[in-house]
Amino acid sequence: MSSFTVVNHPISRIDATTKVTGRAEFADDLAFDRMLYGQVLRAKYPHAKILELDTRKAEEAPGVAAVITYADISGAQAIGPVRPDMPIFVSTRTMYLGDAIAMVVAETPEIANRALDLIRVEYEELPTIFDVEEAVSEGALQLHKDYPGNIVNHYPLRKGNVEEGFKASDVILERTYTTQLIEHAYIEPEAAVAVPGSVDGNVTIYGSIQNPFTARRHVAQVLGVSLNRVRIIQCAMGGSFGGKDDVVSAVCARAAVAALKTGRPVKVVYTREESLIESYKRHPYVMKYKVGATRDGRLLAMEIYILADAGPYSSMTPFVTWRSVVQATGPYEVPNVKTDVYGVYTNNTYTGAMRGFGSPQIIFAQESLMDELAKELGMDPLEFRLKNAFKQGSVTASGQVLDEHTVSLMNVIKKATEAIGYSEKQRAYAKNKTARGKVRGVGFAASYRGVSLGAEGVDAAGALVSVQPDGSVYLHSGLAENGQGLKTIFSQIAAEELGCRFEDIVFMDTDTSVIPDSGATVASRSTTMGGSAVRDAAKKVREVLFGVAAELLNAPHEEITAAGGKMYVNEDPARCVDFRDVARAAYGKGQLMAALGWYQAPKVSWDEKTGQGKAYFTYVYGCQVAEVEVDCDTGQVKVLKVVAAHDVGRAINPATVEGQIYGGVTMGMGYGILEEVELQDGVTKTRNFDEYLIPTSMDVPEIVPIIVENPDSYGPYGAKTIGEPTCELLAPAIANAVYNACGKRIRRLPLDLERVLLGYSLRAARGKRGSEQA
Amino acid sequence: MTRLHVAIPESIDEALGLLGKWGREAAVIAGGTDLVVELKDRLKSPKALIDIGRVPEISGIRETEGGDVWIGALSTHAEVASSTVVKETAPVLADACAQVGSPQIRNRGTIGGNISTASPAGDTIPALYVLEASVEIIGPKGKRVVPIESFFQGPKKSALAFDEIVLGVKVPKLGKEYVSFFRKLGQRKSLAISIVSVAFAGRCQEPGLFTDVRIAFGAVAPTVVRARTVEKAICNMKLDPKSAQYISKLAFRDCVPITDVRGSQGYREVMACNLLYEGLLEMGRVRKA
Ligand SMILES: Cc1cc2nc3c(=O)[nH]c(=O)nc-3n(C[C@H](O)[C@H](O)[C@H](O)COP(=O)(O)OP(=O)(O)OC[C@H]3O[C@@H](n4cnc5c(N)ncnc54)[C@H](O)[C@@H]3O)c2cc1C
Repeated sequence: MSSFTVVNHPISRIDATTKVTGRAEFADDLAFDRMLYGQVLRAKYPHAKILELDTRKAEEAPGVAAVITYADISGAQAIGPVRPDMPIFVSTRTMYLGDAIAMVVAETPEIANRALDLIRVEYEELPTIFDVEEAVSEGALQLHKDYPGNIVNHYPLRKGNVEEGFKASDVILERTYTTQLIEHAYIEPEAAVAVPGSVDGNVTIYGSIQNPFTARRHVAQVLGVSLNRVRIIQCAMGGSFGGKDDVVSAVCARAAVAALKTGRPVKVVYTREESLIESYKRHPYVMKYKVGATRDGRLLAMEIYILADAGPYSSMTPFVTWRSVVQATGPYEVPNVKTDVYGVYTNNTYTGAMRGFGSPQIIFAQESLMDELAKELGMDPLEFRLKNAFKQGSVTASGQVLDEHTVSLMNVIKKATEAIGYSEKQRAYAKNKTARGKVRGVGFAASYRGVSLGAEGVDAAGALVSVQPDGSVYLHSGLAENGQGLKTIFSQIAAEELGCRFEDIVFMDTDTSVIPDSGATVASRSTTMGGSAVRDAAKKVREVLFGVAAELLNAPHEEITAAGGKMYVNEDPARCVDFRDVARAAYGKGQLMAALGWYQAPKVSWDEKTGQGKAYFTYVYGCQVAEVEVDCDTGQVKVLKVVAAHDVGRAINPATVEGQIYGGVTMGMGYGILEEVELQDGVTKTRNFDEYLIPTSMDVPEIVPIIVENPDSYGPYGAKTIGEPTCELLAPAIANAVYNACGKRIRRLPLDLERVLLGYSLRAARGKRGSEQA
Repeated sequence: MTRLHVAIPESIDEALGLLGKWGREAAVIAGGTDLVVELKDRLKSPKALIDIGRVPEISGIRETEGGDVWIGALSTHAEVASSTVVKETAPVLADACAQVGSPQIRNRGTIGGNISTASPAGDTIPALYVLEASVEIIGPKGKRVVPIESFFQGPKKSALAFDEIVLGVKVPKLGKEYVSFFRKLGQRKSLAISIVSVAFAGRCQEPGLFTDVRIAFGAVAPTVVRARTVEKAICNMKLDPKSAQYISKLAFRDCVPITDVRGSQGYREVMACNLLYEGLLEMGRVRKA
């Protein structure tokens, strides 16, 4: 059993009751006196010049308080995490169908909605570009004059010499893989309320906001005010998955501009259709892989060329594609690597952060490729991978030596494949070939993943622990709950470290006026980074309390321990005092019982020209195996069972780790066989969940989670991460299983019915998508 | 601000009176699972909603004196799917209703709404085709009965006039010697609109020999269609796995599908054949057992 009292235990989530009883407060539940409602008018064409914008009629309509356009913005017209290129309202040119042109603010949502029809916009359609390969080809239309060739960014990586590697190879394989545009599909669409402050020019915003500090920065820029004039308070989140970042910053900024203009609270809530049209998505990738190996199955060289469709705005593309360049070879030792990843501007819906962040795409390619290469070599896919897999001390494509943590790749692969009986099933199913009816197959995929931001940027986080005179505790965190269970995890860490009762902790909603900017809740960094900050804060307070307890117990400070609401003498636990009494006494003595904790990530490095460096301070390893049934008559793939083994360092809460695995596997299945945002010449065709299909509870297979624990030297109690790795592996595992079942190799996601039956989608041929035919 | 009037008539006469009063400005609402979506998308903007949920004349499922089964328009998919009479005498309809949407949709959506919407992908319709059901309609000029196949005129187009209400469907019972099935193909296991659906009913003379074969496909033409070419072929030969494969290939002859987000024309043609083949094969297996 665990040596911990609170940590490492499957404690129920602290927000579970309010959520299942419907009492959790979401942004749309909020109401303020004299509140107005905003409705957004969006572009009619994905790429067009705006010749004239006339809002007068809408402004005069009864019940309309104001119509907001670019002309109402006094600060920055555009925002962006890297480049400020996404306009809050477009002024002269639309770049994709989700561009906002104006927002009507009215007494009711219905009035605002009707008034949208009264706004007159005259457009002149411009030539468009929707295909990444076309966008980077010579003579292509240039979307941004400062970024020639429509290139958002380019990351090269060079290791060894690929020419020599290929020369020495016995087998060389070249393959192209493509992935689709994906919607986060959070159950709660975008929502925020901006309330003008009592001090002139100040504004407070409540909302479904993934990253309160990012939203604050963007709102302040747009209003042209200092950061301390904008206060953001996060509401309960109905899901985010990386999706409530840039788009929500824009929603908040529009609401704030409108609130300050009208002097009244303004609420903006999107419908599903609006959300699907405007919000950014996961990048579609076109990935060309060339791989060389010896006859006996040793990888010698990999050359990788990737185009990522960014849409018209840079958003997170430079960060997303950076993770891709680091991890593109997969968790294998490859002596010679040449990788080039490009972000590419188009007039498709813009793309940004989504759970996985540049890994689901490349893992689909590289893990499909590993199976294809094994087949070419006449080797077993498992044996082949184990031969090349990272071991303790292996060197990554970027030249990083993996020696500061336990490299458990082999272990997770073995655990996952053995649990499902992969080897026997794989051999048996490979023999069973029929042209009709139902056939079964198994397949797997493995990955390594850098934890937190790595060399992407500043990586630090804070937390505030404040013990009250009665021993109860406030916990504030700069990283925010996104629905993943952060409140519970952080409370567990605080309780473990303070030695108080878990129930005595109250986690406060993230409020930018209370806690230091801790960066964004992204990159599966909360437990490692924020958890370490909580631990740091709690430790500081505990030291104060130990001093008081030492006096009360008449024992030396160093001999005091705390657990489960008691402080006691190490050697003699019967000599103890209640945590609450210590707090009371400390308060009586005028001691400070609050502390700010801070954690800064260990140093990492990156050379932009060579793609070499210590990309991340630690890594996690995962393997997922899928067993499927393919209907040869319809192309339907049923996922029957999934085993998912993940090394998390330490499971702060095994139940929430399993929760992440169930959810991530389900999302991965949607990516693999169902989901695709269909754009036809830049126009969103899938506008609600009747056409954009995500798995239902009926589709979820049996999922067997396997938690592997190899405590890390950095994270709290050795904890690393689990959020994203769970969601990056299943699509290639399914593709490999489908091949095992019926001998069809499908190199484009999703493996929907048409693609499995015919090998390509007739349906998708409607839109111009060059990559589909390849 | 525009206002939406909602009227809740307690009898069919009252409902007809309201329809007469509001004319084309009115929309009849039963379960609302189709209509509310259209209202939200502003595809329809009626001035009045006539909620027929409390009209007694159009609810219930019963056997008629003529030996048919009468299913009131207000019967929900869940009610039809669990009705003993339907399960015994028109199992293909019970199967179809059981495969609609999700429990929530089956508890609210009605058979009358499914017919009146006149979608070529409506799941009860192929079943009603092979049962050779008829639709009972009432309007200002009284009652009329329309054979199910004549009721549909195109996607969302039917013989129903704006001032008429569907009372129910009359379903001739399938005799004990009939076998039948309904299959639908969707992208996922629930909440999936059919890419293709097929209903089959046939009188089984002896294993593999059928007379009076009726086959209907959904989502492969502007309306649900009977596949007369295959029907004839099946009546003329002994059905075994091999002949089933051959015969089902004729299915596409009666289909003129379109390409939409759910499936392409080419895929749908192949699927019509394969879905029928799978159904015939499974039927053979079940019978042998
Ligand atoms: C999430 C979801 C999933 C669905 N899945 C399926 C599915 O799998 N298969 C399927 O076939 N359908 C499906 N549907 C569509 C819908 O649920 C069915 O068509 C249902 O049977 C409609 O019945 P209703 O009572 O809700 O109709 P309503 O929405 O009340 O009415 C639909 C139309 O019929 C008219 N109408 C209704 N009753 C009468 C009457 N007695 N006389 C005259 N006119 C009338 C209305 O004016 C309206 O135009 C789905 C819908 C949703 C929202």
